[in-house]
Amino acid sequence: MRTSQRTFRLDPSKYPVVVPHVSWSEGTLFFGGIALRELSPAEWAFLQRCDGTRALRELVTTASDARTIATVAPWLVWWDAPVVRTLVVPGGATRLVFSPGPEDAWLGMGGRLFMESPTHATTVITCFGLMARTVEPLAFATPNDLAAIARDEIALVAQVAGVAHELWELPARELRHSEDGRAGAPSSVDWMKSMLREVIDEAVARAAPNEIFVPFAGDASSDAGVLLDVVLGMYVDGLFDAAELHIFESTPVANGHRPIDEFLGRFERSYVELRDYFVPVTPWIGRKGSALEVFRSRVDHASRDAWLESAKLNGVLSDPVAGSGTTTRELHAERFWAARLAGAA
Amino acid sequence: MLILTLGEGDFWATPSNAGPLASFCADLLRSRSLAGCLASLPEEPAARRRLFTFLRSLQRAGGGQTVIALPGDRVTPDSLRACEVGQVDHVVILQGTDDPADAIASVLRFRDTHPVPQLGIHVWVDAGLPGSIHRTAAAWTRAFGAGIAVELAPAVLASIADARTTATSSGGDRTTRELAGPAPASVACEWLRSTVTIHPSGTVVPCPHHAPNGHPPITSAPATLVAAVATFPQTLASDATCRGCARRMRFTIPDWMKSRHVAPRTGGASPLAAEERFVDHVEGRLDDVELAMRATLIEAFIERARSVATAP
Repeated sequence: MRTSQRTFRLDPSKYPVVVPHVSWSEGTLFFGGIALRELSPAEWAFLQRCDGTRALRELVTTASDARTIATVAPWLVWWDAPVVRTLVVPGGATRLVFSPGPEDAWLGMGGRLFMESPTHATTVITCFGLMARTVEPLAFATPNDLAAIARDEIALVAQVAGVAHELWELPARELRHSEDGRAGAPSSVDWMKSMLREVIDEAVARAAPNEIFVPFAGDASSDAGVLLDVVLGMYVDGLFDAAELHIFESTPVANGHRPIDEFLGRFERSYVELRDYFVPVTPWIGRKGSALEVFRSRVDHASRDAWLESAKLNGVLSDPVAGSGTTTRELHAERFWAARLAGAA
Repeated sequence: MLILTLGEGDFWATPSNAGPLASFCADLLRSRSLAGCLASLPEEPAARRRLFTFLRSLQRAGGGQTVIALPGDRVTPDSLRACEVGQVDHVVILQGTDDPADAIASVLRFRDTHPVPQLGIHVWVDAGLPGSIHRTAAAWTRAFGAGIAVELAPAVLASIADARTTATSSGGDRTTRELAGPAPASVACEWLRSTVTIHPSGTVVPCPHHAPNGHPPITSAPATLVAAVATFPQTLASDATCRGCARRMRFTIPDWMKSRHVAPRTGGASPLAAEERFVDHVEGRLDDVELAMRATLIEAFIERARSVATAP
């Protein structure tokens, strides 16, 4: 059973939010479809008050409250500031972020999204379907379960970050390759690319963004690879007008440089030149970590740790002096590549 | 092909609507492309009777599944019983933002009095409920296990309600404004591919998200209606409501609705009055019926459906 504990921080100054994965029915607390423990109605009522608007010191007033919060702590996500949920409606956005899956944009550039969303109207678009993959197969056993919880995860993170989000639900890689040739499961990547190009074109025309973000892809046949291929093609064809194209990490640098080197190798003698740069996100790394904890159906503990470790390594790469630990402050950064057409001024 | 109707209108009883609708359904029956009909349950008893008569008539001419859509806050044992007595195949409970506890309790009470229900019950959880989709779906699945199919709604129910409100309050300005958007592009709508959506006002709309303003009324010949439906893809991309239909592979009717096979009802005497019973009753697939018999059934259906409009 993979309902392992994530965090167990009973910091009175932090703001707990109960994750949408837990529910209560007739005296039992559930994580997805897995019964966790008995929980009284009063305890559940207390748990529902953990919505991120109150710090732990405000929430806990009795010994019973303290016991409850201790027993349900693994299913809380802790924020360093009061959570302000903002339901942002997709529309005009200065920044469009195309994410293959629900969590990818938050893994690769979650710190930057938290940091810059107040100044850059942002829409995060999840391009591919939500039903094919989970790290909690026992808790979310059916495609409907997965689709529901993934939507809840995205909604919570987007509201807390103050960004708009859209779901396109094109068939994910696992759904595109139909061994039995069942109807409705398009097997052609070309078909997918043509559809994706059409809807991206429409989204860009609607939002008229200044910046477009896509993930880098080591594997060209992955969802990220299909997405990057289509967006680069459109960029080369001049379909983005004045919008800048940026690429964010989709594999943590902590896992090795080889995927990134192979990816960059694709751009040698290409029409597109890439310039890498780092964005310091140190004050926001805690919130990024919390956001990644929300994606419990998609991101396991090891992946979350790898991404946070990667942010540290990026901090070292971005500022070798300050990031090397010779200063008292540890740096965290996220890595990006800005695209430019070869020969362009 | 599934015919979908929205809202609670009694347009079945309007002669100018019932005739063309019956002819349109008959055309689909002849081409064997009709998988069924989904309609909302009217409040008024006479309107309910007319709707059930129409649905039974369609069902017995080989028209596939008949489905009643019921908003979660209007699910009662009585409304479910009415659907059962009306011999509808399925009820879809549209679970929106309201607390599902009352609806669950109603279904449990209905189940208590109908331990072997003929009625299939499905729940569509509004995909537009940010943050509480899982909990809402879990409340239903824990109450009924596999006994009730809980699915994400193929369309955002709240958006449908908003669209209706906006269209009503703005008198059609919304559609006009949206139609003035970017030039049309060739996009296909997954919903439209499988479903003809008819608003209770008698207009055909591309999908449930649409307000009826600006779209062709059903008061036309079946051929014209088919042509009107065929024109929708040309304007979809110019309508903000439609942008995105193509990419939503889930934005289509569920598989269980696509089957034209209707399981024969079993056990007990029919709850219908004698005059409500049909001699043209077909159980099973229309494909299994001889051509001549099929034509007879379809003609009987048209006659019966048209008579709905003049029924008391």
